[in-house]
Amino acid sequence: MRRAPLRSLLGSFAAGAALLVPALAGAQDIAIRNATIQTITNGVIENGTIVVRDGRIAAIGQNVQIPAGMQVIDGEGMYVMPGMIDAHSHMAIEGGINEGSESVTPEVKIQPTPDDLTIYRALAGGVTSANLMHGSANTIGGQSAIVKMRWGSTLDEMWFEGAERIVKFALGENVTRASSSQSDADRRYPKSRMGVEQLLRWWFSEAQKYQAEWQAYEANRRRDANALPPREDLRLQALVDIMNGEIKVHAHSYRADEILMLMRVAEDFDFRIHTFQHVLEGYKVADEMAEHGAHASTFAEMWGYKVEANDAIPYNMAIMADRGVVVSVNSDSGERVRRLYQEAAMGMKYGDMAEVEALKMVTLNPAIQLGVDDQVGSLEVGKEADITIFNGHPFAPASRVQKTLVDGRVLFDRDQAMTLEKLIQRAVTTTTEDAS
Amino acid sequence: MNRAAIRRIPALVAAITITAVPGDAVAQAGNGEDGPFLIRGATVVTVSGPRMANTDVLIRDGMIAEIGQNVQAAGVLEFDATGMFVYPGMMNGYTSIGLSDIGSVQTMNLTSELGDFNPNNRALVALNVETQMIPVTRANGVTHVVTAPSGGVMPGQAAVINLEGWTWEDLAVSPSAAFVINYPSTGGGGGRGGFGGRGGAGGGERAAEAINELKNLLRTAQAYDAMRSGEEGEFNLKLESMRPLVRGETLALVSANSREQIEGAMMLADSFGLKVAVLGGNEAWKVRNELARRNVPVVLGSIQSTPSGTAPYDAIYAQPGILRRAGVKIAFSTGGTSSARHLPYNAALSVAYDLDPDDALRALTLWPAEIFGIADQVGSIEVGKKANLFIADGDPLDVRTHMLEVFIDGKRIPHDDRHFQLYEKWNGRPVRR
Amino acid sequence: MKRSFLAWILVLAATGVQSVAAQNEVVTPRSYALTNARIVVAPGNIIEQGTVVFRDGRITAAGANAQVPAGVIPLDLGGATVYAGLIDVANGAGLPAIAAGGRGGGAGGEPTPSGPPPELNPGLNAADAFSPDAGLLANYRAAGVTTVGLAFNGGIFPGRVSAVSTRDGTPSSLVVRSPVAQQVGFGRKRGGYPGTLMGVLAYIEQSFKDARHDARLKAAFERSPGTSPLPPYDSEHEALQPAAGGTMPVWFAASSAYDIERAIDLAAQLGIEEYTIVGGQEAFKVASQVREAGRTVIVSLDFPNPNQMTGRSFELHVAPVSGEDTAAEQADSAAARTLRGNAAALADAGVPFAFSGMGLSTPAEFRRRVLALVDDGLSPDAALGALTVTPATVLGLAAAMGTVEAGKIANLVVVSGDLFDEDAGILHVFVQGEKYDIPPPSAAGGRGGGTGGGGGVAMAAGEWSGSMDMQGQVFPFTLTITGQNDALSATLGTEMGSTAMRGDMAEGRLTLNGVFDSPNGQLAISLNAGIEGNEMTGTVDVEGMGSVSLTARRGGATGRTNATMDGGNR
Repeated sequence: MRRAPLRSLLGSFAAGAALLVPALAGAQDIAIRNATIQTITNGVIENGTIVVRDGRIAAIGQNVQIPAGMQVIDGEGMYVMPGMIDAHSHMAIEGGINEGSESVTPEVKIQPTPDDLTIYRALAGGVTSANLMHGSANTIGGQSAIVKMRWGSTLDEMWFEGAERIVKFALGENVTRASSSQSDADRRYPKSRMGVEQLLRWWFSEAQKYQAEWQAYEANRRRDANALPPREDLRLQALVDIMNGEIKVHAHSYRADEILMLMRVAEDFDFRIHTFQHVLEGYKVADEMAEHGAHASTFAEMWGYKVEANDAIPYNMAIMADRGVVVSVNSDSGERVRRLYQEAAMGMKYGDMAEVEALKMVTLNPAIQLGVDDQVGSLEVGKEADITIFNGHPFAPASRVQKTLVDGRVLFDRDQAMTLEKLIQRAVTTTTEDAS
Repeated sequence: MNRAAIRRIPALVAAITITAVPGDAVAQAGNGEDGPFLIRGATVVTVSGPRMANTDVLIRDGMIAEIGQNVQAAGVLEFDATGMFVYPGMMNGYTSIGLSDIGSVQTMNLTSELGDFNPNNRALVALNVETQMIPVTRANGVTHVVTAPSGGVMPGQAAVINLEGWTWEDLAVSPSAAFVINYPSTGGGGGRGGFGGRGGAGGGERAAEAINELKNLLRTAQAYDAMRSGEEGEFNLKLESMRPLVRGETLALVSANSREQIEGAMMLADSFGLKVAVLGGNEAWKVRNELARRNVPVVLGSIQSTPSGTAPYDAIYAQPGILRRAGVKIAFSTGGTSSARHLPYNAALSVAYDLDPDDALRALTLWPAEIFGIADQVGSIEVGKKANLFIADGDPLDVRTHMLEVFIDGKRIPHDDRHFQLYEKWNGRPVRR
Repeated sequence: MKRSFLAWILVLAATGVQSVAAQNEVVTPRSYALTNARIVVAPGNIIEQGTVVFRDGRITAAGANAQVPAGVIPLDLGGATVYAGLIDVANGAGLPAIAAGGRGGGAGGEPTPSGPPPELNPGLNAADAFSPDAGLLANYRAAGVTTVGLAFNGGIFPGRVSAVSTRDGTPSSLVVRSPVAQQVGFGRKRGGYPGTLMGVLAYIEQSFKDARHDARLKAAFERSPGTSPLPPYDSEHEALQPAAGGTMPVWFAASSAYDIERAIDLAAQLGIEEYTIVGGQEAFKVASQVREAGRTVIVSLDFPNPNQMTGRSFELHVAPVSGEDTAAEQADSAAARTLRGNAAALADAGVPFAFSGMGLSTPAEFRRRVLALVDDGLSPDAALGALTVTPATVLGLAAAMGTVEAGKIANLVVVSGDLFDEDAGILHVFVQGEKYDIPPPSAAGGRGGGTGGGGGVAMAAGEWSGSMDMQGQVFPFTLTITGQNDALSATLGTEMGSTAMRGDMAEGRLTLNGVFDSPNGQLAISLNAGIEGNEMTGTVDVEGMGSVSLTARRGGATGRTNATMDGGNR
């Protein structure tokens, strides 16, 4: 018998267990010096220094003392900016992104998974947090998971504390196309934009009744301690929370008509659409959006991939911003999230946005849209140290991300990362076979 | 941002001051305006030669007629391009422009034919010159593209087309620039063992069967070519079309991403004497030295994509530089239609990951022209080449740069793309409230 | 193996066999005195030489000086060791299949036209659905297992746990305790709501709230029928009332680290106080949360595919050990060892755990794996605890079984040596005092499993090709599937590119999920198909585009169109 003194097992276990924590084990005190610092809110600091303590920015400026013993990143030639924020993503979601069995499901909550390689790739593109959204199959989909890119963390550690509760609405082709392969008798309502509007009105009127029922109970209970509470309905309660503004609406939309429709429906039920997503024809109703108070999170240049995207123009961002809408540019993809900065630069090309306005579309503006602009989105004392370090101006063609910090921890570092060049070098030194 | 700022786009266009207007200049409604044109005082990035500061370029009869200082020409429309740059028009190495339009509408995407072997099909004859993709694409300095059929193993012949003209005959730069071959995949992308390294049955067998079919067809076409050269045998539409392919005269554009597919593409060059270029080439880095040795170029798939499997995070971005340093000739492409205009930003990502910027520019202009055999016509700013070029206010790889004037086949392209038109219309909507 | 078999025969010859005939008194059935025994009373509590006496299936004495009373059959064990009968705390063998794992989704069983779907049948006691194959009970006994926690594998509310004994008898005569606990899992409903993990979580929450609401109304009506509204009746909510009301414990099926976190969160949110984590394959990754929550983990010995271990992708792609070649094989075995180290890590962290053979092919495999864990460094006491005391507690039977003490049911295993020594053989098993002699391993092995792992199980792996039918438009695709049925990876290749998918197959149903990068952003794709032989038929659901039907064949041949320009008129 091999009764082994094999504690080697525990050794390997320790290595495995450690996997969950390396990302979050690093110190949260760090300084970056001698860099070009784009604060977003307070201009650009040349030869600047940032000091991070306990994961927050403790000092920033040209004449900042770095406390002795602190880990220091030399920012010579580097361009430092806030970690980018992706206001529309479906990455790192476990167990399905569309509860497409029904068209109204605001009670479901997106389940993130920190075990997704896309998180690391997003960090390598300088993105530090994201709005992980329900898909667009439902008129009223589920609630978002707003997360920081703390790869390898536990589930609990991944959430972006302090973010808004957000629910996804969707309009147009995607929701009406659901179950389109089936006969009309088996299809899910609605199949037209007209039906979408009526479905919204029906559900919110149901939610009003539900709310009234509970209000009556609350009033009754003061008189009668034995009063029975109404049935608690997670779906209707979520709709009530939406009407009360406790859950913010982010609405997938394309055409001007449906954008306008949704704002009017919301106004009739006395709530607001917080942010329109995609909103490729937002430029046609930008004044109405500004008046309503809606933000916009859009693609920089995607168009023509379906009929409702055929009037999409890359000037959309500039026109909406010009008319007073807070605009962000999002990825909606595990690919674009790797180069969100390139997308933001389109604002300068198409419509001549000012540089800082273009940068805001991937920093402060999405932070506003996720309700975390008091925590991230700009480099200011007291804010969380989510920082991206480029080797040059992020809009310049030769620039790439060198390091990305979340809460002051370096979670991506090109010098440490496995790159194609390093892989080839390693192959050359180990097997000549693969490197031939 | 104030309302005035956004108005700067038309203002920037006007920054190209027209300093002389010929008496009889007539703009052709809807299509390019004929020259002659004289661009004055630009930095001319020739690509084939050195950068030339403060230089004039004369465009006449569709061609680049003269390059130099103080060029004199009468009756020309003249542009003051002081402080601006002139670049050769960019070439997108793989698209379906003209064949395909709105992606979700099936009838607007008739890019593939029934059956696996349709080498005789020609993309050129099915191009819709009115597609909205053409004006949008050329507005960003992409002046000519490869447009290709898809599906099956041999979907047909790709054309190189100018993004300007009244009919598809006008558009043709090279009517049959390449035969597309989709090298069958055994599904083992990235496998270690090289060709046939995976022992699995099933898809592997099916792919092997398709590869055999391909080889047999090529052998048959070779035999047919020999017979017909001796004026024997009976005419066969399909085999007749393949004669320039098997003679190594027309390019075989072999779509291949995995190492074994790319090795298969090289086998087609070795065993059948085809003139091969690899299309896609995600794992080309694994066989870069073999590619360089055989002078097999790579038309890169979109750089705006994610690495597959176990590849490092920067594998797609960094590969172009690695291929170049191994001596492989490369060209950029986007595939598809609607993102074809943003070809240079694919190259920009590669530059950020260590591709030489001059090589990046070559891979957008001269090298694709060389790969597709049209470098005598386009690809650089040289006297005698087609006037496919553009004036920009900066580096075309920089997203912030504006393309101010675009010329294709010597014609000045109007600012008439759908996006600009919608922008002008809706930006002009009176402010509500 | 040969040597150990021989050793086993020798020991068998030296013990008990000859003593049976020595009695001429009237004996009570199921009454024995096991003399000359080494007694492992409980983990860490050993009597080197003593006697165990039981009468009518109940232990009356166990100790160094225990006397052999009249009316029992004395049995000289010749120094063999007596352990408490082992407990496989959660096993679904003999129960109708529901779905693969607790996690992957996709249900397996056909919903019956009349009854509730198997994934949503909370009132079903496992014992009432138990239909053991011939040989199953004997196979359990051969592995030393005297009690089994019958538990459904998969679903959302698949039913309730029952504890059964492994003696021979009709299914209902085997029941020891039923129901033991309400099973809750993160499976999916096939067709309709909830079809996603997030939907399932909401559904569970809503169902518990509804159960409590209905209970309140029912109570009010019973209190004052004259003034209260008629209470609603819903069989699902009715069945959940004991669990929702805190009178029946809950078993949460949760194996991945994140699912365990979800279960703990959900329990806290719903105010469920008495619950157990079932599956727990990655409990070691969240051991501190589990300990803080004060939970016991039922540890599955059906180890997951190492390449699907949480954090594995990062290990492989992000943080390779610098300077070292992470050869895939090396890393694989390290990851596999990490997963096998789950129990040892929980022991170190002070989290109580019990072993489950759910999903394993045979009870023999269950025992083999426990032995391997001990061989790898798990302390034998911890292993024994996980097979006796802890599962007895989890099943609510701590007072009745789990140790060799007076008052306990006479569930006993007699081993020629140390239970965790692979050279030692199980000689006899007593189930509720009933004596079963265990044949040598080779013979036992020959009996086969009978727990559902038998022949003819379709494997999904392979190279498939076929076509999807989209409103009359036929699109070809290829599907390359690798891995074992319980953890599959796949690549779906269409003209629009290739998509990586993951999933599993159970009961002939293949479920794969992936995310397709379309120009329209990322779209979730899920494939659900049945496999028979080399034929696959099913559906593909693309987010927002509905469902299309597909057919495919493994290997060559083809939905490939070979029409030429001469033949293909459409």
